Amino acid sequence: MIYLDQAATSFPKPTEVVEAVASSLRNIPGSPGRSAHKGAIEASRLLFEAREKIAAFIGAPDSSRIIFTSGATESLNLVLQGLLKKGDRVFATGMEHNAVARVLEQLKKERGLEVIYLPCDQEGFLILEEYEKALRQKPPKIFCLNLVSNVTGTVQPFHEIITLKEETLLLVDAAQAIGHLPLDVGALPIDFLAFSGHKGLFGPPGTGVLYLREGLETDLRPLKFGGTGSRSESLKQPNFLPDRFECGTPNLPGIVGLAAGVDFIEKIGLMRIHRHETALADIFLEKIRQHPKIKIYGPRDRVKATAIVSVNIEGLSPSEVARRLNEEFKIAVRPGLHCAPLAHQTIGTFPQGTVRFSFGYFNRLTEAERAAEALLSIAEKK
Amino acid sequence: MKIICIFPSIHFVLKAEKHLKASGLQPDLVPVPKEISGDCGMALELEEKDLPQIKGLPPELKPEAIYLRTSKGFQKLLDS
Repeated sequence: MIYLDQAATSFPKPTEVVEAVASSLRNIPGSPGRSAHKGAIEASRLLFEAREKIAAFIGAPDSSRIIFTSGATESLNLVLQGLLKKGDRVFATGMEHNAVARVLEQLKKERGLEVIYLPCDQEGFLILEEYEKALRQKPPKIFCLNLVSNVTGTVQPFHEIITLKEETLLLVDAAQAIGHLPLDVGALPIDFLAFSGHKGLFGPPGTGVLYLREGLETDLRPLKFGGTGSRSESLKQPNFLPDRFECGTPNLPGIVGLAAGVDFIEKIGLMRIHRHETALADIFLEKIRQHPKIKIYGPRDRVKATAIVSVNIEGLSPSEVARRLNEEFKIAVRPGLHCAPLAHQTIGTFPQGTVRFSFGYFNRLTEAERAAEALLSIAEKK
Repeated sequence: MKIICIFPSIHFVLKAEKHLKASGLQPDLVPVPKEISGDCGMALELEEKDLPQIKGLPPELKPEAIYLRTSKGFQKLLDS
C-alpha cells in the first residue's frame, strides 16, 4: 500500500518510537508521581524528560507549561471551554477544523459567544483587510488561528497577522504545522499552542500538547479534575503547573513514544523533513497540473503550503476517486470534508469535498509519482 | 548534616535536581519523610553546606520548605 493519508496520522512510525512505547510497557512498573518506588521514579523521570524535550523543541522556556493531553482536540477544548465566558467575542478563520468550530458553536449556544469567522480567499489565506476591519470594530478575547490547513496545506502568513491588541489572546492550532514547519513560542507572540503528537511528531495516537504562556493559567478552568499525585491531602485541584491541567494516570507509553518522535525529527533535521515532504508534493503536482479534468485546490505558490494537496476530478465524486485509488492502485488517501466544513466552504468544495493526498517523510519520490499516474489514469478512464 | 527540600510536585523536584546537578551538587532523590508530610511525594536531600546554592535557585524552582535532619527530628529552616 502507498500511504498518503499522513495528515490524518503519520505512518509508519519510526522504529525508535515503537521501541520506546514497547519499552515503557515492558520495563516501567509504576505511574509517574504516584509513589517513591524505583519504577514510579523511573516513570516520573521519563515523563519529566519528555516534557523538557517538547519544551525545548518549541522554544518554551519553562517545561511546566507543557500540558500533555489526548490530542490537539483536547488541547483546543481546554482553552476554549476553560476561558470563554458569556458574551465573549471570538475570532476564528474560515479554514478552521471542527476541533475549533464545533467547540465554538457549542459554546455559542451555551454561553452566547459572538463568533466571527474571518473570511479567507479561495487558496485558504486569511483576507488581511477583512481581519483588520473586524479588529478595528472590536478586538476579540481570543483569536483561534488554524496555522496550516488540514485540507489544502495553506500556511497562514503568521507575521502579517499578529498585529493584535493586548487584550486579545492568540490560540494557534498547530496540528498540521508541528513537525513540518519550525515553531518557536519563545520568539512568537503565541499565547496558547495546541498540537497533536501522532501527526508530524511521529508519536502514537492519544498524545497531544497544550503550551500556555506564563500567567494565563489562573483564569483557565481545567477541563478535568482529579488525582495528580501531588497535594493528596487536599480536595482542591492544585494551582501549579502542569498538575492544574493534568490528572489521572498519564499516558506514559504514548508520551515516551512522542518524545522518541521528537528525537527522531532532531536526528533527521526538521528542515530536511520539510524539504523532502515538499519535494513529494511538488513531484505529484507537476505531473497532474496540466490535466484539464483535474482541479487542484490550495495555494498556487506552493512555498506557502505544506505537503497536503486537495484535488477533484471533473465528473467524479471524491469518494469514488478514493475508492478507485484504494482498490485499483492500493493508494490510501482521504476523501470528503476532512472534519473541516468551513474550509471546504471557503475553497468552494462544500458539500462534496475533495480528495486529499498528504505526504510524509517516509514516502518515497516514486510513491508520489505513482500516485500522480494513478490519478491521471482515473481521470482518463472515468 | 543533611537537609531536605520540599517542592510542590515531582516535576519541580526533578527540575531542581537537574539544575543542582548542573551546578555540581549531588542531590539525592528521597521520599518525603512521613514526619514532614503524609503525602507520597519525593524530595531532594542535600548537604547543609549546599544551602546557599539551593537558596540561589531560580524563583520558580525555589523549594516550598527546607528542613534540617537532626538527631531529634526535622527542623524547619525555610518556609515559602
